[in-house]
Amino acid sequence: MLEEVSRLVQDPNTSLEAIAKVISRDQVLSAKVLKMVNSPVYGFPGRISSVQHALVLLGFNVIRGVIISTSVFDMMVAAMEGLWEHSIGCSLATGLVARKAGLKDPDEYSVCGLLHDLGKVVAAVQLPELHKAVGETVRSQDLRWLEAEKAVLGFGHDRINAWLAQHWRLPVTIKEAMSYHHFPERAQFYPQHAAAVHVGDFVVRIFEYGNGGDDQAVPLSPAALKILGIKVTDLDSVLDGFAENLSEVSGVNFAPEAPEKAGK
Amino acid sequence: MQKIPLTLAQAGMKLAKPITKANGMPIIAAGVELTDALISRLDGMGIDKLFVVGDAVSASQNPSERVARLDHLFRRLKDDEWMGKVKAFLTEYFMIKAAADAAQNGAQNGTAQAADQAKG
Repeated sequence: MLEEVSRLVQDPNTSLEAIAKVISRDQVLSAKVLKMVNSPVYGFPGRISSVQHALVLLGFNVIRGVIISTSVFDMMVAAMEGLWEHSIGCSLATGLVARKAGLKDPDEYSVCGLLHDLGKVVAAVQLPELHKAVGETVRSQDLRWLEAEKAVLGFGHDRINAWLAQHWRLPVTIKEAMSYHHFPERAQFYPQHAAAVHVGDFVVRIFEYGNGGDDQAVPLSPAALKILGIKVTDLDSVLDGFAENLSEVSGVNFAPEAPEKAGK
Repeated sequence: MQKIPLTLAQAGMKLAKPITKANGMPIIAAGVELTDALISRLDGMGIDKLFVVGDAVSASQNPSERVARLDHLFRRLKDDEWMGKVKAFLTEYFMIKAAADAAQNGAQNGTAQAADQAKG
């Protein structure tokens, strides 16, 4: 499904209608996409009535990210308790940060937040033993998940993210956000995306909504704030918006569907 | 204050903002306490979101609890001067929120302490 949609997009002659039609053929997927894009994470809560409408308003990158998140949802829930909540919370916070920083197309930033920890899911599915060892290292040595990954695996989920983004041919904006959300200053082309996700991740951890694998604050990168042109004190409205919308966002998941074997 | 979907609304919750129709006409004023009858009427009117006082739905948003958790969250960043500043900002932010909530709830005993701390 995702591959078919992606192929259509690569073709410059494809119309939006054609893409919408392919997605709409899958009723379950359409319903999931509409559920997600109508949540307050995105800029048009409760006002998007069709897939085509969603594509026009939010753009293809956002819809593609949402489709990815629907297809990995079951695996994510099974792989790590609380990771879905962490991801959707990060998505909300990242969008708020992008709006605060006055960045263009904030919804694209939200999607970066949604996908920022997919590498952890892949590690859990592909390397279950090592994944378990990472979890044990987090607890026994009081490390953050990324530190434990580096100790056990020798690389972190940020590296897996880079590979995944490449594999799915995601746009460079999303790829860099996924790969550099821990070190936004290393992003080559779109440091603002990486920085927004970095701050979003920081915020969701402060609220301890969901669980990214450990219960620690991440060092907030001063470089990230500089890239975004905001100060620590600007975070107050982000925290306000997060607390206000969280309970509504927390209802967004793809659970009621029968657990299907999600493909890659 | 918290925005919740109507499905999570329960009798006893207090409105933090008036409920208005889509055209902006107010239906119920802020400060009104919800009842089961009221909730089903709202459902009938097609209202699906409302603002309620406090953090009734999720504990992770409770500001006084956030203040209490910051030490734990920042336990490995104690020696970092920059993160110390960040933590101080967050502490103050959640203290003020806790105080505002306490004031809204009519300053009940337990939460009133948080208000005192935030003032001092």
